Amino acid sequence: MTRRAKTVRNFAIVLVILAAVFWRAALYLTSDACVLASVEELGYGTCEIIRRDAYEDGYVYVLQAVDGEYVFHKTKRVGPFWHAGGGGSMNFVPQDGAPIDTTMWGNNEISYVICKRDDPDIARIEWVCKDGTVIAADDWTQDIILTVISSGLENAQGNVRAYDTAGNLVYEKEVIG
Amino acid sequence: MTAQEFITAVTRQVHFFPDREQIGRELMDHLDDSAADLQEFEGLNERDAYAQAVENMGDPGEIGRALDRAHNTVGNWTWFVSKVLCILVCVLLGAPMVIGTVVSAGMSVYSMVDYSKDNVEFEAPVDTWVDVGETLELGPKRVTIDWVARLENGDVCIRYHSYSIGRAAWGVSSPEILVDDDMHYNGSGACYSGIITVGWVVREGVDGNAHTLTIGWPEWKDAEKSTVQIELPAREEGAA
Repeated sequence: MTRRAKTVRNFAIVLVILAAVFWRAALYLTSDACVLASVEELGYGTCEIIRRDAYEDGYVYVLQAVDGEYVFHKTKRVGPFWHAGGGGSMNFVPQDGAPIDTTMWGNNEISYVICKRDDPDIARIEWVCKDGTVIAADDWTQDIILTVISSGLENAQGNVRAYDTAGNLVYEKEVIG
Repeated sequence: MTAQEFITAVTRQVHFFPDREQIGRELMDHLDDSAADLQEFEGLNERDAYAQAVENMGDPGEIGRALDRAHNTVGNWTWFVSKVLCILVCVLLGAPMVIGTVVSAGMSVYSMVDYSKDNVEFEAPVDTWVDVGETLELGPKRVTIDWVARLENGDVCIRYHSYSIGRAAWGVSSPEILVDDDMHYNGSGACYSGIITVGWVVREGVDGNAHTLTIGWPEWKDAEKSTVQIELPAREEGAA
């Protein structure tokens, strides 16, 4: 066997092994492909990505399933690839005329807050953590705001305030994750 | 200059180091042949024959540079890099993957046998067996509920298994056992997760009356496909 043939053979073996590891470990080339495959595997079917925000290890997503359910999910970077990082789902059902609905998940170090507005007059929300930190957000995507809070769930479970376009506080509630 | 010094002087010029040893061997073979001829036909002793053979070879620097031009090529370096890469990938990734797959397959088969009706060991005698054999759908995953056993101490145990031979980011959580549609957290259980995930889970405190058991994942999106209902008959009198 010539060296040229051996070179081709060696690279072919490397590619086959890398592909097998890549496939078996459920790694993906892009974060979006990773999250879509992961939520489908979890039974949500083909979802639409509503928005995504970066966090320290990857991206956090809000997606919408075909039946309208909102799915939130994380991806994390593994070298040059992406791996699914978990999440949950929520049917935002308007409650007692509240203009917004929220849900959150996370751990002891980081929290992810999702706010769905049911009243288009709501322009801005403020998330007030227990330690007094206030995080404001007004970048709605299809009536969804996704905010990453750099503190654990316990601290992040504070109050949420909603303001209208004139800046008036129209709604406030305590949030329990 | 001895033969070895000559070879060292030549091969030192060759930058493609993987070939140096082979070049050295070939030069030594040539010098051996040449020295043998000189001993046979010129009547020289061994030491003089080798010295003459080395002298006949010419300038080691020039020979080395010529050999370097022939061996220090992009193609040779590509071959060498591919070889090193191939060995590293095989050792670091390929071998563990193959070993892991074989071990997982073995453990899976062992678990299937170990958790079979004939071999599983319960804390109390079984009074009722119900063969289920129903395959449930959890999105793209399939999980088969194999059987249900009610023990004389009131435990209800189920065994399940699923195959995981594809690309999977998530494993299968253990199924719920609802008795007459109540909500209750399962008790103990165990599973082996490999190519085949095999597990059992226990619901404690079920009385001996007839019950409808809902087994599976009732909170899954499509609960009709992710649960199975079975009728657990009343315990026969005298069984416990």
